Amino acid sequence: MEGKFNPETIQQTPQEQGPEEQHEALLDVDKVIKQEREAAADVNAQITADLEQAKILQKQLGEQARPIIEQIQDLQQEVQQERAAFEVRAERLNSPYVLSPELAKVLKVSRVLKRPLLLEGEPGTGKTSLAYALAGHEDLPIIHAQCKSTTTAQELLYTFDVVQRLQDAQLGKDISDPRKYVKLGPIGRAFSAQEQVILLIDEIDKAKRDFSNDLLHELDQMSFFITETGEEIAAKYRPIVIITSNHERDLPEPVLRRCVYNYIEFPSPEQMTEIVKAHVPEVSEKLLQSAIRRFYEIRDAEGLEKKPSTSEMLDWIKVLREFGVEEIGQDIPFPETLLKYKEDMEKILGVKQEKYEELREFEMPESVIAALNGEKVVRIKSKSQYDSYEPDNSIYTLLANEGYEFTTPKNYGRRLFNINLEGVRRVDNLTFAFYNSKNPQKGEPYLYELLKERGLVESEFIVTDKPLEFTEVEESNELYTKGKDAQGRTIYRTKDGKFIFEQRLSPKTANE
Amino acid sequence: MQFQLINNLGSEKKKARLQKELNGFIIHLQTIAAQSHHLLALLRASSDKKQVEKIVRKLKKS
Repeated sequence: MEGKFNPETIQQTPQEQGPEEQHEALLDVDKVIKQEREAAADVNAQITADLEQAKILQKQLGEQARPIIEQIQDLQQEVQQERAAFEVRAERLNSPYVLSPELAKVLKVSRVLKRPLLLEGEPGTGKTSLAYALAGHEDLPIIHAQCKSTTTAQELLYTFDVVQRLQDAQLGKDISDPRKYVKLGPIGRAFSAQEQVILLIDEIDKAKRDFSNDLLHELDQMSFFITETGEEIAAKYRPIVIITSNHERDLPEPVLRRCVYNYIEFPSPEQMTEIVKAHVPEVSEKLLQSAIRRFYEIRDAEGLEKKPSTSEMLDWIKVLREFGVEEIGQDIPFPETLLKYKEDMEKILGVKQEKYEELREFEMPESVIAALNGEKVVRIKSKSQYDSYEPDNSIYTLLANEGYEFTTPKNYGRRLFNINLEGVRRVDNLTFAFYNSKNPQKGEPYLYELLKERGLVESEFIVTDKPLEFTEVEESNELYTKGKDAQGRTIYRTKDGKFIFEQRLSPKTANE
Repeated sequence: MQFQLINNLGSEKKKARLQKELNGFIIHLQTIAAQSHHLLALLRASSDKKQVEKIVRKLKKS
């Protein structure tokens, strides 16, 4: 079958051209993507034609043709997936990078020491982007090993297709050469490359704890053995290794010892100005400065589920320019570009905040407001039913054993019991908001679980849409109704139909 | 604080890298297309073989 696709029309031959012609021949990212799309469309058309032919043959061959047709369909799918991946890669390679003096220094140190560079920092601080920018800056190939919770060190080195070998053996094929069943993983490919490459081991903290330990020897020696073939894969050109981590977990000490470490702080407004200018050079100073000011105000707002990062800032600037916004005033145009959660949007735009302020004005308890806000609110076990200030002794023991700081109560409420921990909020006597269920990373779900497990949680605040019956109304206003149910529990009903009550967990103390 | 801008817009090295990536990707696409053609050829061969067997059977009968 004759294909329409002709690589000669696409591939350049720079060696045969003079410097000026060569300059003209080099494409920018838009043209690269345009050509890649044309090439992928051509190949897709060829595979579609193959599939049509194959389906005609299927009429004659029946079920026998099915496995081959499926394989062709898989190839067609592969083209689409690879196309999307190529475009992401091209955009990343094209991205300029503003290097802080500190980062420039550690980069140099890791190159001099020939040690992996370990970059930590919150998402969106440019860890992965640095590896790609370096690849573009130095015209080096980049091999990207993306870690997941299931990634093993072995598969980054190589995999051996035992199943295929077994199938081949059953079909009577020649299986004497085990090399044809070896598939090199990203590290294997980096070591066997015929030029220096950048090896990016991305989000290493997502993999299991042993993962990084398992790679220590190979990354030290820059070589490994393929057991099945006895072949050694040794790096002829030592790759530049960049490892990133979002610090979801601490990395083992031996790994840290072997790397040059740097924690990338979120860019300062000054650095962000440079980053935006590098990505959107045509942005006006007035828009840039006002947008940066507003962006950092939003980032500094307390209790956001997800703070906007650099990529959101860049998207925002692009959208603002596209829609002709000249300057950011008090309002936030196109907030959906910056904020990804409804709650954040409400918080920043003030809608929900006003609602809670109103509830506070009508003296709804802070514990109930926190529960309405999605926080996990619990009342911990008290020493006795006569003392609403002093927690049970086991709570002191648990907090002390686990290393949590706390304030002991004194003189019946003159000094209140508190757990002095970021993310844990005292909302009433012996009542704490431990974490927000939508963003548990920010609070202390671990402490909550411990308390619950040991029976030290007396009650939990529950918010439900299911109506509860009031047997007694104590208070009613335009925002909520407070009263008791048949079990004698205090219940609240908000004007938007939410019911809040305290659900008892632990059995009553002997004193009660 | 002095920031250093790398991989800036218009960088020749970056363009060269993108070009190489494009070339590599196109070769990869060609390989996929070749695999597809190969699979179709296998199917054709099976079909031809079946046709031949059919003719042989007919001839034997006659």
